[in-house]
Amino acid sequence: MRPQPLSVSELQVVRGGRALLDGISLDVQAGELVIVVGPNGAGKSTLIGAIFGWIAIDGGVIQCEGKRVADLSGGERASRLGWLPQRASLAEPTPVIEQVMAARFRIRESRGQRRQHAQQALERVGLSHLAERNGTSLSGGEAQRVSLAALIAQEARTWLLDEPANHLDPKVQTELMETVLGEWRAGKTVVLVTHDPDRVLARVTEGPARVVGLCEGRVTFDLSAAADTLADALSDLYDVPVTAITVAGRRRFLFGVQA
Amino acid sequence: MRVAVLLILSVLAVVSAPFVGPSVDDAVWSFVLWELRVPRVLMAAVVGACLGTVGAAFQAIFGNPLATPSTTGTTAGAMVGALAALVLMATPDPSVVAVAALVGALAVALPVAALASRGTRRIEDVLLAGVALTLGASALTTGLQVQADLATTFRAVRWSMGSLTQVGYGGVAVVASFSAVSIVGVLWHIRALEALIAGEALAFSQGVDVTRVRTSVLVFGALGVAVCVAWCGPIAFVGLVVPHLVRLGVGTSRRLVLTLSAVCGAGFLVLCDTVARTVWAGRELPVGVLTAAIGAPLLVALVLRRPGPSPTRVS
Repeated sequence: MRPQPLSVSELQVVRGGRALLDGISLDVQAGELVIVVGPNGAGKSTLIGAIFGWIAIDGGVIQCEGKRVADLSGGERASRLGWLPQRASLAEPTPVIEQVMAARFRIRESRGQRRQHAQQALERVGLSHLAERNGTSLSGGEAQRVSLAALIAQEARTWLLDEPANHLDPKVQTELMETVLGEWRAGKTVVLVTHDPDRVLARVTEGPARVVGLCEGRVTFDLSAAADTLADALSDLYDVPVTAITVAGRRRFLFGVQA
Repeated sequence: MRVAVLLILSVLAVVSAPFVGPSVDDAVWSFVLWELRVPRVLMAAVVGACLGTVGAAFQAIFGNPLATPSTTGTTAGAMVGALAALVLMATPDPSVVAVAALVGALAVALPVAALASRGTRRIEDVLLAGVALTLGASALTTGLQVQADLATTFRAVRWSMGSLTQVGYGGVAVVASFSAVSIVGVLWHIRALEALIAGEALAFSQGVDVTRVRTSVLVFGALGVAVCVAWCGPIAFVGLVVPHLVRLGVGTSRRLVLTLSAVCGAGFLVLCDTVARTVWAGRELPVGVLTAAIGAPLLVALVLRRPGPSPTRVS
């Protein structure tokens, strides 16, 4: 029995008299895929920042594998939780391989070993040929795959991904999602914030997957990915019609389309 | 290979510098070489190594290739502190000047760091704050200078141009030991500085104690800057120029830039100082004037070349 990767209870974040997160509770089990959806300003990125600790919380408890995240050392936290931002921007030109190697900060090893692990991570995202390239010269899609390689190299047990495919073209979005879901199927626990649950759900046919709706700092629904009521829940959440149809044996969600 | 070339060039500059200069009589040659030129070259090497390393480290913690002790106000703070001691004391004691410089440097560096650590703050704003503090400090500097009598004012003005004055081996030893502490203290965090390449939040998520690293680098950096400023005055732009020279020479690896900036900084400042004392026969250019002449245009060029979205204009 693996310890529970993430347990958030009654989380409060208040800024300027406004509750950004208003009593959020969320339990994530080992090996689960939790898709967090919600309109802009719902508090999705705030939730991730609060879990890691760079956003101060005003109430509630956040636990990771049985310990409060705030009590973990940096290295312990980085071995349990890893983060993929929407877009990582480099401060200055840097070789891709060094960006990936730097993600293994918490791990004590020789520089040769670190380079080898980083090279393997780049192979997993199909970019080993770019290892010596300058990171600031990459396309948006390549840069995001390098960030994913860095996350792989970090070897954290649970991933929190914050709209990782937001600004990418359909091909790169698909590849990125395939890599992430491949890691999930291999046993990684994944919390994925996205505006595009359809793209993820279309690729999830089995395994423990849930969809959690967030609106105005509260959880509005928490459903299995296979739930029949998911289309209605998404429709209420985004305030647009959502229709579920079946294409090639898979359930797809059409946003903005009335059945 | 390119690393080796850069190292050899830097070492060559340091080793050959004492033999460059107007020829002197055989009788005094040994004195000129061992009592004047060698300690001066050593001082230049030590100060260059320290300012180069601290410059590279500041660029890393501020996440900006334009951030250096000079552009974030640390140097200006050290200068005000040192000048206050120079002007207010009848017979300035170098160690008191150094302590005053350190207090001044930290008084600026720590608030700027606190400003930079707010996630919502753009780094441009931090640099502007550094510029504002530098301007404020230079007003204070002028104010302090006119308070003093003529001789003190002259000394203060000469000092504030930045020059590698004759301090003998004693001064070299003091500056070298504090610079060594500063360089080691800064490079202690080299892996964290590498991890900061893609921003503080990401480095934090990878296990870096960002606040501790930033404070530690700023304090050890300010120590080095303060000691160099106290003895040699503010030698401007070394911390900006040197890391960029290294990048030009060996590429963009942050690890290489951080480690080579010490050696390359030593070579660079020795070279500048050698030019400063020989280019104008019989007269001496303050080395700070020379480094500023190289650094200021480089700063402008870097600002203009900065990547990033530029506003769409209708011309």
